[in-house]
Amino acid sequence: MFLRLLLSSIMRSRQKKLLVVLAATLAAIVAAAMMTISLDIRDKMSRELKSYGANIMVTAAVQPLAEEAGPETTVADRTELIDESQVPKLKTIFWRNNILDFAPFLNAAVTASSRSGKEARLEAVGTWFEHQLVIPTGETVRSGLAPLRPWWDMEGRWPADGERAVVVGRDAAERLALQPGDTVNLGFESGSVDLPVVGVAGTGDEDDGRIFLPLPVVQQGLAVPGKIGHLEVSALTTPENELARKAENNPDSLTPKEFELWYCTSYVSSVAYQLEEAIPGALARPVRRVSEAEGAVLQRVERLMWLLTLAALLSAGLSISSLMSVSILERRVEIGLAKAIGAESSAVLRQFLAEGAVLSTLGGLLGFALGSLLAREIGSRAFGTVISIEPVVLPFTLALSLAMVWLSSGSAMATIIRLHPKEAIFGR
Amino acid sequence: MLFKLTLGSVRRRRSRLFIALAAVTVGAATVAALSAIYLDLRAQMTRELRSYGANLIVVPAESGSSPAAISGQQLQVLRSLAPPGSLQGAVPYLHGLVDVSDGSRQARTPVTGTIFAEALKVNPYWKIAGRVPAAPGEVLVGTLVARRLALSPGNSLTLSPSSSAVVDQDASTAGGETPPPADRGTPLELQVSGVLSTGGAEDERVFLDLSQAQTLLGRPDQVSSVHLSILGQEPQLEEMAARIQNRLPQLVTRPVTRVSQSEGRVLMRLSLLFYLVVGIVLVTSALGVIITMLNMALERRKELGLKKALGAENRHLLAELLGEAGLIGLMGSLLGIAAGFFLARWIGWSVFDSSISPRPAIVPVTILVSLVMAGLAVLAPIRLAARIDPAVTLKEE
Repeated sequence: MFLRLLLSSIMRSRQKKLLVVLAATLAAIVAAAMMTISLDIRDKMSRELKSYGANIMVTAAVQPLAEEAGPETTVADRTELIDESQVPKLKTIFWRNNILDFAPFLNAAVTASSRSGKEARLEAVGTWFEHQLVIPTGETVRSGLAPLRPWWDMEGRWPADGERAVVVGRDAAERLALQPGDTVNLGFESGSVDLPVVGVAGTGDEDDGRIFLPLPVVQQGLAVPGKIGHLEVSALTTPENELARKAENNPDSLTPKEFELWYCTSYVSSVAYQLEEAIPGALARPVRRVSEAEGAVLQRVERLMWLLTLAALLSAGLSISSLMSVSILERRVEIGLAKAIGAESSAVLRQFLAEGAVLSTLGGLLGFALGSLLAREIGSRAFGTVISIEPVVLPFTLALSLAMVWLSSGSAMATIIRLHPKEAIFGR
Repeated sequence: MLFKLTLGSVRRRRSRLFIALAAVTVGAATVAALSAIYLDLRAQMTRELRSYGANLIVVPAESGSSPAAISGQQLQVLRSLAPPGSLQGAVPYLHGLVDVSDGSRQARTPVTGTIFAEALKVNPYWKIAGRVPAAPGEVLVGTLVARRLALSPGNSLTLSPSSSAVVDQDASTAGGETPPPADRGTPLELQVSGVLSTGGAEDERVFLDLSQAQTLLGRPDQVSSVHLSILGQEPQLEEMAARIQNRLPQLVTRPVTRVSQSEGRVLMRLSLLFYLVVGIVLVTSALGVIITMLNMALERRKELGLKKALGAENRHLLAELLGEAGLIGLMGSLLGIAAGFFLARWIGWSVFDSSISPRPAIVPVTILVSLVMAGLAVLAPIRLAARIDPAVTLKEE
């Protein structure tokens, strides 16, 4: 009986019911679109912020100097090195999918000379330019310097994987009068080697004065095969909070529950900690200039997005409520009549709420579909990448739609139900 | 007459109009708040992004004979060249090599003299365990140095000028090798006030007060480089670099491309996103008002039909409807501006921990938007009213 009443009521005056569904759909579109974007925005902005460079530096753990060490020892001496074979392990940590880009480095002082007779003492940086690395699971991942230096202005090109060629920083190239296509002679302590220059990079920082070589060349030059000095890692991270800072100072000071929460959240300190676990003898430090800036931006953007979501929902909610109140008030006569022939107030209320539920569900489903599409469109325009559809948004959208419809019709209903049937039908 | 009609109509259906007014107000408030925020958003985000460090680096041009350095006077000139309010900080660095000894261990260490207050302004990401040096007898030790020499806050150490002439690590930045200075200072007894972690090159250095470093290294009134943090993107930085080139041609200025490029991109993304979201909100509000007014018009069909039957012409009805819409639009916008102001301040505090200042430009913009919304909303009811046939309307249920 209830269902029959419900259905017939919905089918009557379909035009007006359609308006209600329309309003509910509208609100649902806004809710779904905003929520989908807000959920994904951290990820998207994070990737955008990757243009800042690596946010974690991995070096060999530093031990206190032996007390007999003489004054000739320089603090900056890199006597401890990391095994190159350990590098693939960084893709095995808990947060492996957040490790986006990485590259190993081994630095050496060299005497560089060019065909034109110019000579200079420079810092040579051995690294991978574009390297396909096989990790313990058998997969191949892309690594290398190129993605870690997106701001480099390259004249020429990057060396290919395995190519014995160099990239020269702009200032160094000027000092040695080098261009892409020239050959440069690099003198290590153990011997010298001639290599072609394929690129000259304008970097805007100290790298302008350096020369970049394939890692094996420097390893040979320093007679340390299979070793590297440090790793730069670029990871997607969550902005730091109180817990993260406490953990960064001393992970042992956390309670087991706190530790698990920290470990399972991609704070930069947590990712660094896990890198230290994976590579024995390593020290992983957050590159604070990058991680702090990333954190500040992400935090602000997230908060802003949620506030905008609230504003949009408020706006949508008011549209619905205005519509619902008007449409309920219109049905005064119907409600009065129902009460006059004996219906209880609660029964009438139930009927209308059920009607609202059906209409809002229809609107909610439609709105979710359209809202998710809208979010994808916005995503591609604002970020150039695809925002994924989040199924978790659907129940929230439906719930919101329902709440909006019920709340707004509820108050109008309450007014009318309190009226005497005679007043409802004939007016005051 | 029109006035009387409009007023009468308003009095009669106060509640409905109130709801329509509320819809317009929300739309207007959102526009007002978001406009206020947007104008400040770029400024706020730029300030956030400045926590990334210096975006302009000044070094002396390479010269053969004299040691390449920037003088104290040149530093003052640099500071004065920045547009007022845009200079976040200008930190001088003097690099050198010293012998560090803590009694049991000794090693050669890169050392940097600086002004700590400025350093913290330009590098807000510096993390110090302990505290920053407050008096000239204190030093800040990089975390790797601290580990090497087993140092912590409170320990004492001695810095002595390095005996042999070794190439300074930052020679490439400072422009050439620094020849051994003539007049070296005497060893200094100092105390570690804090340990610095940055994840970068600073972790391998010892930092002390600039004048002490200048005495120790025998380089009075000299600094190796100046790092500037200036609010602005590439155009402003290029302008500043040009100004410096003009005034101090013996110095070379480099914008730090990685910083300005990244900032530019982040700001662009944010702006785009912002515009799109504001668009959504506006469209929602507008549609909401339209739906409400349409609904109201639908239920007024009988009333309008009656008026027509009594002799009112279409243009009279139009005028009445427009009058109502105009009233709603105007009132909604005024209320919206007030509400938007508070909303903007609230958002400013929650998101940026700072207040957003009211801007007069918002008023005309909001009024315009509200009137447009109300105007659009009333189009459908107008069409409806024009097509009403009194005979048909009055007869139907």
